Amino acid sequence: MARKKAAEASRKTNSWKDIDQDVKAKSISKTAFKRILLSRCRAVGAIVGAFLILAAALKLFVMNEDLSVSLSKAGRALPVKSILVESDALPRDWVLEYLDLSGRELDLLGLDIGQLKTKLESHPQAISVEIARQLPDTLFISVNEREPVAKALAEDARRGRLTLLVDRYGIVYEGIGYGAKQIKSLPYLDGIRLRRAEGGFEPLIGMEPVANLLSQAREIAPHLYQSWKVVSLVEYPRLIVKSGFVREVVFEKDESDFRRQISRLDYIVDYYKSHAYSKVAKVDLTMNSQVPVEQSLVARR
Amino acid sequence: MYRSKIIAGIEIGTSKVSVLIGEIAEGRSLNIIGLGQSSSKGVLKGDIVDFHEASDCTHAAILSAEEQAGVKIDGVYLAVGGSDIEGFSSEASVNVTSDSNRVTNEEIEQVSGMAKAREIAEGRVVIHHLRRPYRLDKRFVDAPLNMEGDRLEANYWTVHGNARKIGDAIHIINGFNLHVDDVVLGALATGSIVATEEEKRMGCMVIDIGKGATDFAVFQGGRCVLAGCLPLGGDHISNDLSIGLRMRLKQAESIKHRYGSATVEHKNKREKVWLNNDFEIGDRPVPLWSIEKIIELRITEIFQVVQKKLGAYGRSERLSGGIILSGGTSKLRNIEACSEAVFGAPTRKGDNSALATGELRDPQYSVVIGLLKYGLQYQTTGDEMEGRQSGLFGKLKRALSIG
Repeated sequence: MARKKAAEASRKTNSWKDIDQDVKAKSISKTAFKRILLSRCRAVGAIVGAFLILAAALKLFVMNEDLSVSLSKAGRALPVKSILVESDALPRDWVLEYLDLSGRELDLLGLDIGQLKTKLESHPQAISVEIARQLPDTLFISVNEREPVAKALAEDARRGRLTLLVDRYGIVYEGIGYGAKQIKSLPYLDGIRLRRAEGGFEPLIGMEPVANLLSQAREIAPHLYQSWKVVSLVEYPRLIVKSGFVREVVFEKDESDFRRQISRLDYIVDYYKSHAYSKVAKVDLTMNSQVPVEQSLVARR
Repeated sequence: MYRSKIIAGIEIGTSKVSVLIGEIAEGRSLNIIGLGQSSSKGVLKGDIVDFHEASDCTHAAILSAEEQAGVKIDGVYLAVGGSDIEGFSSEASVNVTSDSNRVTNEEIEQVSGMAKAREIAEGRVVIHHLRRPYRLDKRFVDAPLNMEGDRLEANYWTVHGNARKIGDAIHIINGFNLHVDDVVLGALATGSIVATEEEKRMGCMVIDIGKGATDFAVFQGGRCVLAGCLPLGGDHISNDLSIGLRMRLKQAESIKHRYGSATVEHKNKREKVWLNNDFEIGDRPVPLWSIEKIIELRITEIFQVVQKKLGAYGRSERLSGGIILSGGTSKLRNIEACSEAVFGAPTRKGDNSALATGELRDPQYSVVIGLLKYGLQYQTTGDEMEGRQSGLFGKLKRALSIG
């Protein structure tokens, strides 16, 4: 009871909070009036803006609906009329056959580009593949292929003897579409062990120095390279090249020294040819200061 | 989800109107984002004497602060002062009636309600009820809940002011289409910023000496226990100099700022300074001793009047935390020494470095910064803004309606 009385008495006490804070229009200053006007304009602007955004969103939604309808209509009317294939060696027909694109009607928008790309990239001869739709009716396929630096022989129980190609990274694959002349110009690899792997062979480790030796020989002394028949890795890290004039050339596996070794070989070959030798048995380039040359017993013509 | 709230601290002073805008983020932290100022018009000794002139300069300051901050104010904390602010102590007691003689919550509410219930005169409104420590069987206790005793006493210091004058100040703010969330005595706001928690706990006094009025607040046990206002300030010093040294008020103001000291530093009465210091006709030498003596006498008088108002709370042993001076006039040289001589308590000048940097560290901004801190505390406790709508619809509603 006493508490109630105290509370009631407390309420009777005037507080500043009892002061009426309602604004009478006449007590508003010019500055405040401008602010109120601006504030109201902004509020009205915000409402109008929100309405416009809503209307625009609705319009966009309707347009989007129309667009998707027209796109689906267009999709049904986009048959593939031409397929462009850009590659180094792989023949166009082989690519189409491999991707199962030949001999049937294709829908440009219905093609699974990702799947086609993955399939073609799974072939060892392809490094990377780009496939793109070129509206309205063209499919574009571009294949970036491996470049062979040597070839190797393998025995297959079913197909007999196979000639395989090896790129500078040791990837072994059955070359498709290469010309006979190009394959013939590649030296054979000897002293290697090919291991079967899923869908092909395991890569050869340590192939890069061989590729460098061959590419430098092709660049510096193409007349020598043409006669190189076999590169033997039997004594790896020493590289033994078997050729027509010099039966065996022994190279040191020092990539920074290949240029010097090839130049020396060129000099020796020139020297012996000029002295009417028809063959040299062996040239060993692994010694820095001296080059032992083993002459053939039936060398002089 | 808690949105940030924009609050403003507004002081309609005798010399200037200051508006400081703060953003309370997440209800916890305060960022000061805008300051607006204008020369005061229509205000005399802290009282509004011309509503339209006071409105114009206040609204100009608010607009300037809003433009600087780039936001609209949600609520206002208004500082009040002036000659009519008074206070009284009211007490009430109840018997502890529970079986175990332990104080219950109901008994605390009852005794507090009774103490605050003392009626005030017609035309007066309560600004603050400042609670002093409870007494339980003559022992001072801060929180008596569950403590054992027979008799519980509550004591409040009620600060009240003239309803019309406070209403005028509020209506000036309302005239800018803003709502006043709380009205705070200037010294209380200043105290919340310039006094440390330790000083408040030990017992200290904050004196805010403005141009036309002086506010004071006494803190003990960490809370404000006494507050008041005097119609005396820096203007009186200028007036004394003007009359005593026969110069214009503007010249007296200038002399006060250039050579003023609250104690006599220069004993040699022949030592003089130039009145205008421009070597033009009319410039004359003025004795420095006279300037300092006049200022010393007036400042001492202001402090003595404050001391008289404090009663027992003004004893030096109850002010062991010291005295903290604030407000524009506190920038006078040696004012601390003058205060120490009157109160016998250590004195320092307050600064706002706890919340402000740069220009805002000046003591003239203590009140408005204190108001923002006051607002932050209310936000944290969450007991203001009853019935006010926030968010987009609240904003729209406020924007579209005047009242």
